[in-house]
Amino acid sequence: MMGEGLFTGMIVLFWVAEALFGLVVLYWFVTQGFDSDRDTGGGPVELEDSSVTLTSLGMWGLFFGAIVLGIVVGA
Amino acid sequence: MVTQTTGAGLLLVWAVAMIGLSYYIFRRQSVNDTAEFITAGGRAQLGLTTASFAVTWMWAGDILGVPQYVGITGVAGIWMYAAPAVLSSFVVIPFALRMRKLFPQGLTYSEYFIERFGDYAHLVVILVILYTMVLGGVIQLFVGGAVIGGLTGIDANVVMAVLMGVIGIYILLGGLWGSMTTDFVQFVSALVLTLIFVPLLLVEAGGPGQVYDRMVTNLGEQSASFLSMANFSAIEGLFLPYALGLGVWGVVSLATWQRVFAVRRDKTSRFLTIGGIGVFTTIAMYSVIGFVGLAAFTDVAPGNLSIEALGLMPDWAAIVFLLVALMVLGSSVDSYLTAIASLTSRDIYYRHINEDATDDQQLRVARAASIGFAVIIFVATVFALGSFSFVQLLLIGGIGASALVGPLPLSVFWTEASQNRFVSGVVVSQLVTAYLLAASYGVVVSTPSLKLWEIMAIGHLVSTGLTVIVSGVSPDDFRFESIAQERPSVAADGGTEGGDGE
Repeated sequence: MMGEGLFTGMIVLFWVAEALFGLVVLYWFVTQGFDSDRDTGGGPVELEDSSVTLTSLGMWGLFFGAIVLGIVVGA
Repeated sequence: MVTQTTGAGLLLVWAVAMIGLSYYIFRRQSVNDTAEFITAGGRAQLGLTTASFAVTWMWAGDILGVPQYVGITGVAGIWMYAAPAVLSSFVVIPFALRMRKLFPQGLTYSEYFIERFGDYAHLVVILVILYTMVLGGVIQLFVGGAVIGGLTGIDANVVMAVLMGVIGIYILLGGLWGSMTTDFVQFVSALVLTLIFVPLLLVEAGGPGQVYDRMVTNLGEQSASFLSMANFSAIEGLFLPYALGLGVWGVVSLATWQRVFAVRRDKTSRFLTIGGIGVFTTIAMYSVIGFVGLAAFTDVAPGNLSIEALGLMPDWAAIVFLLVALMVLGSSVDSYLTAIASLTSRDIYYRHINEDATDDQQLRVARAASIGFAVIIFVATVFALGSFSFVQLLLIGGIGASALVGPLPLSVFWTEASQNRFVSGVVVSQLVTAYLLAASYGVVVSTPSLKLWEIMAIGHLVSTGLTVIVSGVSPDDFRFESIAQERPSVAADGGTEGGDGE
């Protein structure tokens, strides 16, 4: 059973994560706009590099790891 | 409770804002051809696409559903609801990258199946996508009619008619650009709910410490299990059916794939990752509503926890909350309506009725379909309100996923998968799952009565197993590069023509 400190910390963590998520998306939108015509000249865009894919998969790994850790710590 | 006049005013403000926004993007992005209408030209930027993807996955029902999970199983309800909800974003990544490489000329992912297998497989995929998308719209509108009608006292049918009418008009104007742009505003609104109103509710209830203390007092002996993240008692009833059904529903959802085809090619896995993980944090914040409910009330059913807890907010906050609920609701329904309009234009009209259709003709069909299916979704929801419960609708919506999630990777990675095997896997899986679902509810048949997660698992096993086993007996020898070498009739993917090849 989680204590009061852990319960409060969990809510704060969710709030901070949500705020970060919102800020990242808003930052992308403000800096990139609607479409990519400006920075690609309307030309072909290559598929993402494998390092980008691996970084994304790494983020998923950390995310699922954090969920498991949360279940163990909050048991 | 918000008065009918205030409720009508909110609906009017929302309608003017959304239609105005869609008209702006219609003019700004020149949405005058099919590629712009269906895939936003394949050049949408990361922020816009991530926001659109995330808010499409934030269902209005989550505001009721997450507190309900918390009311049933406590803090463990957070991950039991949120983890499956974002599973699709992770699972779809390899297929999305593969599809964008194999089929850069596609406007809908379902068109791939006509190139990979042929007409029959394509028609089967169209049917599955069509009913899952219509059901997705019905589920959202169902919640909208019930919640907004309930909070304002306006007749639910009137609310639903206004919602569908407005959404139909703004999709008619802007297509996917209209959907994604309005989604962005709706995304910001959802952030306001989670970052400002949820903490405000917590403060109204005395702060996290007091909420914790009251929960422990109210729950009594149950507090130990309700305050444990490792409370697995409801895993069969809550987690597994969600993970196996709606949890992977996004993999087959055309709304997901439209955003995959819309975003710049070099940003594909990034928007799915940030969008998916972001949805988890939003859903997790909704759990606070459930905690406040458990702390404030001792005899409220889990399904009513959210409405009762939100009633603790001051009146002005309730009005703003209603507006946010409208935004979140609109984001999902408009995405499904755009998907259906695109499916009708490209997959049904262009691929099967008039292969010589000009781009203008396809665009007209897509726009007509956005209004036609808005009417169909409205009528279906009016019927559903009197015939099904919300949970039943969710379950019926989830079985579509079990038909395609297994065969989809086989069709994009395995050269030996063949049309007849693919079709048999999908069709038999849907029939078996529908039968088992009917039996579990005692509709027409009554045996065998299985748990919901078992039905979903059987659906996945049948669709995947049949495709693998029968294809193994009589294997195909498909050359994937034959698809990528085709010259696109409409350049739609980041300006490229013909793709990268294999």
